[in-house]
Amino acid sequence: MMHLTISNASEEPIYQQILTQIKTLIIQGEMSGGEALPSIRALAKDLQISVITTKRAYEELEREGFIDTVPGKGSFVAVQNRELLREQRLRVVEEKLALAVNLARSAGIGLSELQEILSLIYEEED
Amino acid sequence: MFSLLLKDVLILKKQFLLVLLFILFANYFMVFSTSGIVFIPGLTVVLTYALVVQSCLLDDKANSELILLSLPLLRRDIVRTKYFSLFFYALSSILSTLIFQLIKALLSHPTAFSLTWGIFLTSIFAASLMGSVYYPFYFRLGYVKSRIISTVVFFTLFFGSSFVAGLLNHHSQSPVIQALGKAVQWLHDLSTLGSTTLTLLFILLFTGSSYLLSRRFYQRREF
Amino acid sequence: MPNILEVENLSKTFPRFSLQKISFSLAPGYIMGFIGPNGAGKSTTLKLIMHLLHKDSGQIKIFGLDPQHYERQIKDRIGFVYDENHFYEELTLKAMARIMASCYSHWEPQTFTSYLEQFSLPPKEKIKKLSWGMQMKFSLALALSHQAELLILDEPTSGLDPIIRHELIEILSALREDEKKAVLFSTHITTDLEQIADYITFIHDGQLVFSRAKDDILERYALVKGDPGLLTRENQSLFTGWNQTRYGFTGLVPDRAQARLLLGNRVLFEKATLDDIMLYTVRGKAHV
Repeated sequence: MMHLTISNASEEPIYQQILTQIKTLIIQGEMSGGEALPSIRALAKDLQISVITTKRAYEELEREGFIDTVPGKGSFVAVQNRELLREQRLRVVEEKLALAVNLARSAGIGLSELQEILSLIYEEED
Repeated sequence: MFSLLLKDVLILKKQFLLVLLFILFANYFMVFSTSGIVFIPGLTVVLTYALVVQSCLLDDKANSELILLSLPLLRRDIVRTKYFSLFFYALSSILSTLIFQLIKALLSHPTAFSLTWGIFLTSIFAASLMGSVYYPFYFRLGYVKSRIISTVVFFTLFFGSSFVAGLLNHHSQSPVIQALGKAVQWLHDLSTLGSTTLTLLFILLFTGSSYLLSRRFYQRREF
Repeated sequence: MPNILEVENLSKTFPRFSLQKISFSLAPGYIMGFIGPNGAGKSTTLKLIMHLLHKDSGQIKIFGLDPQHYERQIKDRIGFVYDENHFYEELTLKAMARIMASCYSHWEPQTFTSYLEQFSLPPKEKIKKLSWGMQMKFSLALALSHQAELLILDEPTSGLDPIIRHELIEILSALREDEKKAVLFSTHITTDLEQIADYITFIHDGQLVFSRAKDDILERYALVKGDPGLLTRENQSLFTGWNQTRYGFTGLVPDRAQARLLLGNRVLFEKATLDDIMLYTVRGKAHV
């Protein structure tokens, strides 16, 4: 089951809210590969929002590889994407860490100090 | 067109009942033996006029044109039905009179009066003439304004006719009047078939041209 | 799919008001909000579409057909709800429905009965006994029971409480699940449309302000708040309209990105509602 909470008061556009929430559901495994999503029109009806909004959210999800849309059948959570997604994210994390390491080197910050900072931030964020 | 006729019948339920009571009353108390030729057409015209005007009044009161014209109906359907219902009212009125008189005859009532073909035709003719005058005003001006004008027209016709009659008597020697007299005599001498055809032709001519005029007016109306 | 409704350069002149070259189109499967202040020309436009008024110039096409030649066929596929009662008050709901039902070629008695139940409308009651909210629901039940593909609603919610208005919104969004159907909904209460509408057509003083996707409009327009000193002559052209007090100003910009570029962090940006857009467009810069 897909749970979405949409806020009209938020500055964030509604399609963006739908996009983010569905992505999170997929990444966290609450929606699994092959699972059917409600149709664009059914979702618009349930949330009482524009069809154009739901359509845009779905199109974006499809472009980013989270869902597949089969004409005449509907939209489904893309299979294998959790691993794919993790890999993508890992690559981003590596890039950012490399940047941090470079900065640390230039400032003369050692590995142990850097590790300390990392674990501090990691635990803080959690 | 059936839907619109159904509408008229449904909204005029109460009025139909009143008309029926009125006819019953009139038939019970009136002795027609000699005056039927005037009385029945007169009654038909009055009752038909009452129903026609009531139906137009109720349409106007509900401002129903907005709804009717938003339905899959054409403007000419609406006009046509109004003319159709005119005959419907007239026929119902005559038919009720006929039924009451038949009952009277069956009961061997001394004042029972038999409806002749001539009276029937005259009644229909008179009612259609009334409608043909009223409707173009109604379709051109709407209910409220048409009511004023039609009242004026009917009064003029009513008093005008007696004025004309007086004028005819006064100038009975003039050649125009002589010719008219001859025409009336000629009509009088016609066979039943001949006068029926002639009356129907007149009805067709009057209502036909009145309908075309109403349709043209109504086509241009805005709501 | 072809458009359900196409209006092109529609014009109509009255002695004291004129509708000038209104154009918009509505595709099946969508709800279009038709907004504008009272007297903007919304009813005139709808009446021209329904052929209750005669246009002076321009084009109207409904279901791809010319209404002048296919009036009956077109109206058979339109459901309408008007802002006042135009029914015969003395009739019962059932009798009125019977009259209307006999006009349509696709009347569905079961659908109608189920709407009457859903709306708790008593079929044997006389129309004059109904409240305005009930009359609107009756109108809606009639409009939804003959397989209409285009629903035209003229100010259906004015004078109704929020509960009934919400019910109407629910019904319309359910209707839109059928992608062959479209709704044209005129109102000056824009909150009804803020969420559900797909497109917004805004007219003011007989002229078209815009006819666009609602998301697009709400994303571009923004309210800007700040110090009155920032309303310099160059900056003023960024605004559709504004309201200024001693303490500051609030204005509407039609292009959020451009305004951000020029005004940056010196002002506060807020989401604009359809009401804001209507208000500042109508008021303009007149009262500065």
